[in-house]
Amino acid sequence: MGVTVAVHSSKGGTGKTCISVNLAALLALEGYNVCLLDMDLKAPCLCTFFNRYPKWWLNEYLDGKCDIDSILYDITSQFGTKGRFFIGLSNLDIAAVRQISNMDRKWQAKALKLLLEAKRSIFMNGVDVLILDTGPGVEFESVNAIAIADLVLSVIKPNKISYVCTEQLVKGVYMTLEKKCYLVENMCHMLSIDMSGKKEVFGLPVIASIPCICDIPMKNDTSIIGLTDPDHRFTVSIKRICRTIEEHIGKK
Amino acid sequence: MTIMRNDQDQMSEKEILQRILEILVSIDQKIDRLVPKGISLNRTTSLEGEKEGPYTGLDVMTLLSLPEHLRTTATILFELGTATAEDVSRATLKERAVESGYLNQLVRMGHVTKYRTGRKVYFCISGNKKTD
Repeated sequence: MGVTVAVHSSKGGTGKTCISVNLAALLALEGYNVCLLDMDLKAPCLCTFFNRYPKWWLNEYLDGKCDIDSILYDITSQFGTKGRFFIGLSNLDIAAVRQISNMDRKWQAKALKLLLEAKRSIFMNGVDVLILDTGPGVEFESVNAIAIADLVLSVIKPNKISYVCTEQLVKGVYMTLEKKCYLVENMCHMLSIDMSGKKEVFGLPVIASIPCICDIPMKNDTSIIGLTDPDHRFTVSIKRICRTIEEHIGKK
Repeated sequence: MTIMRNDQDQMSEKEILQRILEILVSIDQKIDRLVPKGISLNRTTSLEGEKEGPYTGLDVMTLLSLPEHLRTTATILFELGTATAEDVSRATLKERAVESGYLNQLVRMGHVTKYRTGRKVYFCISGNKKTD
């Protein structure tokens, strides 16, 4: 059985997708079989990033219209990774997003069960790490992803709003669901947790403080920095997160 | 009542709790016997008392709002799919009777379905069983 990692944050714009994509790519490069799912069903973007608009989306799977294998795409050859690299995409079409926004608790309960089944199936097929790129806050889809995850990486920006909102999530969601959590500080400057010498915030370990560098969003718009710039400070930070995930793969 | 009060005076708190547990186990076993073979026992009333469809299920927000002991039991049941009280107790490291009590509480809340196959009583999250 592999390890499931939910990349989450209290607010949007913290860099969850950038971190998720790079984590997935670097773990695949190192030889792990990785599957990356776009769980941000209300603001999907992995299809745009990977420039793939498939027939079957995660939306259809969660609606019970197809099996999980129908929505997974093997992109190993595109990036030349040692391990296999799969992606499952959410539909960015506004009609599909509106449909997700209208789903009731009953649908979400079924979606949770389908996600658990998907996770089992994905690991049965030899995947080592399942990465769930979630939407921010306590949207149903995001909390469903957290519920099925073994680890939660909570991405936090070094400002008061992000700290206060994350603290609420830690107490009310991560701890309540008894998840193993790590904080990843992104877009850091002189006020970073790392610079202040703290190793923990809200009782959670801070496993990386990614510096605020202007070329990260620009480069990551068209490529995966982790693969194109192996010595970049961003890549070095992502590799630190990979090491933490690796420890959990070993434990499973 | 007087006898009970006298008994309580002489019993330690631990003994009282043990006695309560025994009574609960006894009630639980009687309820188990009442569940007809192959027929699920599930109320279709939500926590708020609203009328739902054919089942209420258990969504993640409701899971978050459950008291800790029930949340742990429900989370394990989610992972196991279908399980007996003994299966759940093995995962939570609590007494089978305690887990049975929690599972029955979840059944009464409408989140879990209970059914009997042969002599064994099984539980699953409502909506997981094919006949639901």
